[in-house]
Amino acid sequence: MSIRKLFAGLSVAAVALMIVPDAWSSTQSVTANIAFDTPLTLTKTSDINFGTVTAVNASTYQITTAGAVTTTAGTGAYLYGATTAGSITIAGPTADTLTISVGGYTANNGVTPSNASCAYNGGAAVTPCSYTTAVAPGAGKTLLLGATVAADGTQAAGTTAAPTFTVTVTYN
Amino acid sequence: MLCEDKGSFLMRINKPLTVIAIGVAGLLGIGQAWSATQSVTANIAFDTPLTLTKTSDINFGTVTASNASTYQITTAGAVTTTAGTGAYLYGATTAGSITIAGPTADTLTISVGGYTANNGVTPSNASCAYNGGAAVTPCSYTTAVAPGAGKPLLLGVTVAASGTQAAGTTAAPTFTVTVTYN
Repeated sequence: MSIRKLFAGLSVAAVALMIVPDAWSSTQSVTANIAFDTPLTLTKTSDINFGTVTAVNASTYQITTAGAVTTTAGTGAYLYGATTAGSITIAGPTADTLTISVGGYTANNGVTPSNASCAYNGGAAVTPCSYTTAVAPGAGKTLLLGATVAADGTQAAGTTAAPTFTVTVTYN
Repeated sequence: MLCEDKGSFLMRINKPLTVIAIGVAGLLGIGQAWSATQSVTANIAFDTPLTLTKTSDINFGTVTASNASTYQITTAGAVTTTAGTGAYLYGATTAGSITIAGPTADTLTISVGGYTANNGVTPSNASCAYNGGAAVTPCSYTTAVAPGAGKPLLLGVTVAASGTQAAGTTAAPTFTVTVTYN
């Protein structure tokens, strides 16, 4: 009876020892997710060109994303020369939407830019230029640009001005 | 002769009595020698079972497609390029995080292994930071403090992309964290 109990005890101990090592360690799989896409690029295909407007005249001019120039304040007027909307080709990401914004308006020769407009991928113009979820450009989509400029009237005939602003495109 | 016979008879009777008496005495004496006691202690300790609970996988965000480069993510979730011309482009980046819990009275051994590539992206050299400590690369602790109610293990890793990953695709290589009682 005692020997039976002893063997029974030993066999329980042996079973317990066989089970315990499993409980002594624990594992956890970790996944390192990584996605791939094409880097974002901006390629300017055209700056804005207002053509020629009235010299020595404090006026404000606007050019649309289609390249049409109008006077929005003052008595100055578009006179002649080719007018061109700005154009930037945005390319790269195929799997992410974009945020498009403008800023950094910088005057030159008494001409101050403001309130840029833009039209992305053939869509309607947005003024001021601002997209929060523009579709992924993939191989390339066009961003057309317009702007308003205010001439302070000090611009002599035969002179030029080249105010600037900055377009920023960001991955979402 | 008769007396001798009587004496012999008495002797015969006395011998069995003596034997019986010795037997009884022997039984009494043996009874004391046959029992002994010894205290035996059954030591037993108690602790809480070890558990690993993953709270976050690693996320490198999005990097340059079709570019053979190697990227590293730290235990703080910062992604850098360690070889090649590819770069982190966009998207949330996340270090891995596992909560280790259970034992209050035993140190732990922590190790990593089982690196498994996926979609041409091969993981290696995982780093880890246990309980708010500095990152250890490669991830290896031999006497990590007992986690008790729970301590975090943050994880980083290096992945090498073969350059065959097209834009818009993803990869999910894996590795295994093993935690063992000491």
